[in-house]
Amino acid sequence: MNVLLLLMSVVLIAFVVWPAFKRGPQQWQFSEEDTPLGRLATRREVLVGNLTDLDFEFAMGKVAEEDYMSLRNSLKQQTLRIMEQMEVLQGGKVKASEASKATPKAAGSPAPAADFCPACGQATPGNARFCPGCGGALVLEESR
Amino acid sequence: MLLADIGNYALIAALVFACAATLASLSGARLKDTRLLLIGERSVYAVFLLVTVSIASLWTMLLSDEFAIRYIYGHSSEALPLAYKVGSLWSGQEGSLLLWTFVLCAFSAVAVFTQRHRHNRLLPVAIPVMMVTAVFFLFLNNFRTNPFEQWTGITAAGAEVPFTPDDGRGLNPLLQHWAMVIHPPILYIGYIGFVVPFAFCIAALVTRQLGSSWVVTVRRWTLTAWMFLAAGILLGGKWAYMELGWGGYWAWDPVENASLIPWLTGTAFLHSVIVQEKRGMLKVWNVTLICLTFILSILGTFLTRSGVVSSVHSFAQSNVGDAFGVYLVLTVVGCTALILSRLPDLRSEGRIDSFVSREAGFLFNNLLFLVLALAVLFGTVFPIFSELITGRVVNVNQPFFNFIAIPIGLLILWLTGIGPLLAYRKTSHSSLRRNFTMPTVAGILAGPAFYALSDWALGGRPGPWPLISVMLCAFVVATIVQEFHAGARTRMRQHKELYPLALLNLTRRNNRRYGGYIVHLGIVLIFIGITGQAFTREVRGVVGKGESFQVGPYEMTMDGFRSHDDALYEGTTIDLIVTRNDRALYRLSPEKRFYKASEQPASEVAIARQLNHDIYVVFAGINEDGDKAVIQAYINPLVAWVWIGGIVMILGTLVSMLPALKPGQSEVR
Repeated sequence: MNVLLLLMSVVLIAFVVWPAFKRGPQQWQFSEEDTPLGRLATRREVLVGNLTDLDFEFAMGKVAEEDYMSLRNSLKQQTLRIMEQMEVLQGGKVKASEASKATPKAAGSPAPAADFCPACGQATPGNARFCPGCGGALVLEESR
Repeated sequence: MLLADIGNYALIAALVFACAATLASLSGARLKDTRLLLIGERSVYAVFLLVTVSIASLWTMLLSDEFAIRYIYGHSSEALPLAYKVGSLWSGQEGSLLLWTFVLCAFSAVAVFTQRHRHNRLLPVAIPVMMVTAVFFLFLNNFRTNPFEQWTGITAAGAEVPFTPDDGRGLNPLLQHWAMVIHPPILYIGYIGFVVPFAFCIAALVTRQLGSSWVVTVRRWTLTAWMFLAAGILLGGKWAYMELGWGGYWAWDPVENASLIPWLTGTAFLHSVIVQEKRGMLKVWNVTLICLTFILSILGTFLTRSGVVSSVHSFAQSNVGDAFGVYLVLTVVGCTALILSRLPDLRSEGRIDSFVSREAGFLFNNLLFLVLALAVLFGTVFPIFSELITGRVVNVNQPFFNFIAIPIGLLILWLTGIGPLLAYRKTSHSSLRRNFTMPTVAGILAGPAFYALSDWALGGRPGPWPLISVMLCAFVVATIVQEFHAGARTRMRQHKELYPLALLNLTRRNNRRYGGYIVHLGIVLIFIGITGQAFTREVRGVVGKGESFQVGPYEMTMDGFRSHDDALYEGTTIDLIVTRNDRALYRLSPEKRFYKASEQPASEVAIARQLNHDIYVVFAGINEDGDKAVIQAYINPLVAWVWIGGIVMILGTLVSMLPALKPGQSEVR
């Protein structure tokens, strides 16, 4: 019986210390979600989720129009700030496709302003008709 | 005894590997060396494997009646049915603590396996937290409550020899019930499940990664633990109701309270964590609540296992009390110091703009749950302190708990309706009017309606508390219905879907929120069930064969005695025929038993279940002349809704744990 227990111990110890003999990079790499950029991305996802929820609650008639506009604006500002920080970290611009994915269009009336330039991804002020970044025309989407 | 040696060896080896996991992970994190971190992870798997071997060997010996093992001798017998033999593993201290360790190691291994790529920054600190807990419990398993201890006899020459008794002393009859077979493991999964959120919280504090990341990671873990704890508490209630024979399911018994307290703080955490995710607020609350929940889970185990609540003296005799005490004090001091040192990192990203906002609702919710938890805790540990200080046990009884719990419980119920309808940041008057008109009307109308119907339906007029409770229940149900209905209508408009499909897709799209509403509905049903208690009727009848007595609207006629005798127990059953308006409805057969192996009596109640009330009868004994049966009969209104509410609550939790649909992912068409 002692042989059995001994064998079990040897197998377990071998299993546990095996990585010590592995070759290859041994420096610890953070997983993507644990990098500053990853954390900002998580935060952005949450904010985008909040925007979607808010739009739906407004469409449900749960949120009064005045509340909706101010809440949406502040969420939008926060999202923009996060994206600016991500831009700085990435050392470049967030791609336009990501930007447009990031902020859903407001639901219902009044007609919302475009949040980002569809061409270059530059954030645009509330009622601009042309993009301050690339000069392209900003088309306002018709509300549903 | 081969299996006992294997079990013992596995416990010792597990302790060694748990220490190794702690050291390897900590030094790996410090030296930033992947090899050490991997060794730490693998050690966790090894600990899990070893504890599995240990518990499996105890189980095998239980099923094969190895009465040479003291624990098996004390908690099983040859005649015990198989299901109860399986359950007798956790019927005593040694086995329960081994189960604790097993569940803890299983949770740790699954957490490491699922999070190893996602959170390699938090994991090297989370592993030591889980493994230090494992080291503590393995220490108890090995040196204080070893389940593998064997009987020894002493020969005439004075030598110690192994000794095997012929049969065991049997399982406590009160524990011979299906709910008791599954209640402890389910409750333990609940208690111990909180170790994972706790470990990740500590890791986030240590590494100062205090944003939404750890909160998102622990969400499902917390929900799982919370759901199992809820199910465990309800099963405990179900068992008490069917086995203890006093007609109720909740007595504010210290052991019951011990499981309720962490559930209350856990519930507060589940809610307040949403605010951290959505608004970056209440961070100090969240780390405090999860640490508190974990500590209270350990305290719950300590209270039930050390015997301290029945008397300080049994605490002194218990061989785990001091170890638990030291562990608890260290954990409390460590957590407090860590949270205090991280206060600057826990600064809120926003502030509460208005009292009429969802954040404020969540904050009140936290406060109420915490006050309730602390009040119950105070009432539970008061006898201990009174005995320590005055030398006399002063028990805090039901009126104290009801005095505290009823108003706070109803306030929480009220918030259940209010909270979800408030918007974040602020809610304007027009929104308030729009959202609360219908539910308020429903709540107000429910009052007189209930008052008018209660005499006919429940056999009595309600006092103020039941009336308020029913009005609030109606209010909350109306808010939930309104939420589902308005959401479905919006989807019908936006996506051109049919109503049932819109309801389904609405829930699927935002399963967290709508699953939460289903849980709230379950809570309302439980409140309705609890409210029914105010209308309980109790009658004592002494009847011979053919005689009858009246219980509420029912007439119970005694139809004779039957006796039973087998290897497990001797029993006497009486048959009662229940009639209403001369129509026979049920035949109820309560029983008195005497278990042979443990030489203990037990009573089996008989229950006729209906949605409006249970008819609950106990065979209390035989009268002095020996010719009549003494029967304790109860009409328990609305009890069924407690269990139905529990099931709805669990279903709701499962819905909110479903993986979220990503934007663009297909819906049901």
